[in-house]
Amino acid sequence: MNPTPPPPDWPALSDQEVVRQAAAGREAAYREIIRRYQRPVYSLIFRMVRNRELAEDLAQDTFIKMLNAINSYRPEYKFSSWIFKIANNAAIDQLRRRELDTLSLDGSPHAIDAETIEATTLQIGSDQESQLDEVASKELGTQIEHAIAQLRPEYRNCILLRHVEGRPYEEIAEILDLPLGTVKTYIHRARNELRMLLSDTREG
Amino acid sequence: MNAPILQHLTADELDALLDGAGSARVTSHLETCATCLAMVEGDRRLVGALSALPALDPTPGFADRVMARVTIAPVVSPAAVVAATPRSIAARRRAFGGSLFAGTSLVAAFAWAIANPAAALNTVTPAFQGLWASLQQLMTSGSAQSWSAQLVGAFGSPSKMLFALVAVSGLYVVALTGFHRLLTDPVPDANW
Ligand SMILES: [Zn+2]
Repeated sequence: MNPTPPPPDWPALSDQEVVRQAAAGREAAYREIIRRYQRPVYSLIFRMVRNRELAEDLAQDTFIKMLNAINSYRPEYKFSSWIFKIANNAAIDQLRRRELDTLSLDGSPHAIDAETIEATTLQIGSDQESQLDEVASKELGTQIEHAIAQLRPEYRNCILLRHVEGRPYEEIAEILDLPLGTVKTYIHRARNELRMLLSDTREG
Repeated sequence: MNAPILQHLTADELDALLDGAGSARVTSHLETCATCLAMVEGDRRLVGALSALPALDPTPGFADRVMARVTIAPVVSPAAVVAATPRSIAARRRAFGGSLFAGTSLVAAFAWAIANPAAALNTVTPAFQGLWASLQQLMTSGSAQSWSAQLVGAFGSPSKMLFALVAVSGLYVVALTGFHRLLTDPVPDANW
């Protein structure tokens, strides 16, 4: 009989090692994965769908789906890419289902109509109050949250992954299944739009 | 050759600048172009503010709610299959030894059969003889045409050697393939 190995120093382990432990059936490894990724995953989804309850449900679904398929994870990919991919797909599916954002057919940067902007802003103003209270301490932060909400979804996830989550371009391309050039273009355009939206706010 | 100073910054140059790397062209262009300078300063402020946005927490008990719907029991997986192949050096040596032994035995038997065809036939082919006799009968009775006669001629006595050769080579290939598979890690499913 082998003696039970001592519990690993979870925070010190790499993602790959934690996943290996999870695949071997250790519950603590599952919980370590949740601990590491619940904030970035929930933050990304919340900033995509702008609804706290919905974001929580989608984040939960993301983890359940990913953890139940932990044995199919391929270590040659970055683990964070895998989980962000599942999270982003969940958010995008939800946006499409609810038609919160309508993609413009003419490629206009202002992809969502005024009514949607108003609805989204109202939502941020009411049931997202407590979430955004932490943010509201900085006026610029609040303005940026509102500006991000007005970007079209494919710009929104790019700018969030790049400048909020700090992911490199290559990983974003992998997460979103987009060519690297497209990712760069989207991020560049998203920054231009945000700059304009913020200067409008300041002038207005 | 660098782009002229007069040309506005490209998206790549702007990215490099935001990452803290700017070429001499970029620096001198920014000294002369208010439009690009305003864009760079705006982007710097924006990127700083974006990266300062707080990470948001789901409600307490999130992990427990997730775990309540997760099945921990490890299922049969590519990882389990990988684990089942001999990975230790000793196990691989045994597998290699087995493969070498099987291969050498088969080659030796084949060489001996070439050198002693009559003895080989007596040893190896009693099982084939019945089959061969009925096959021969079928060919001669079935047709008297020249192709069948040629076939019978070609397969007369050495044909039984051909049977032995094919059978032995087949066994050898099967043994090698089997041991090769044993010694090679299977590739996990590409399913995401
Ligand atoms: Zn310029």
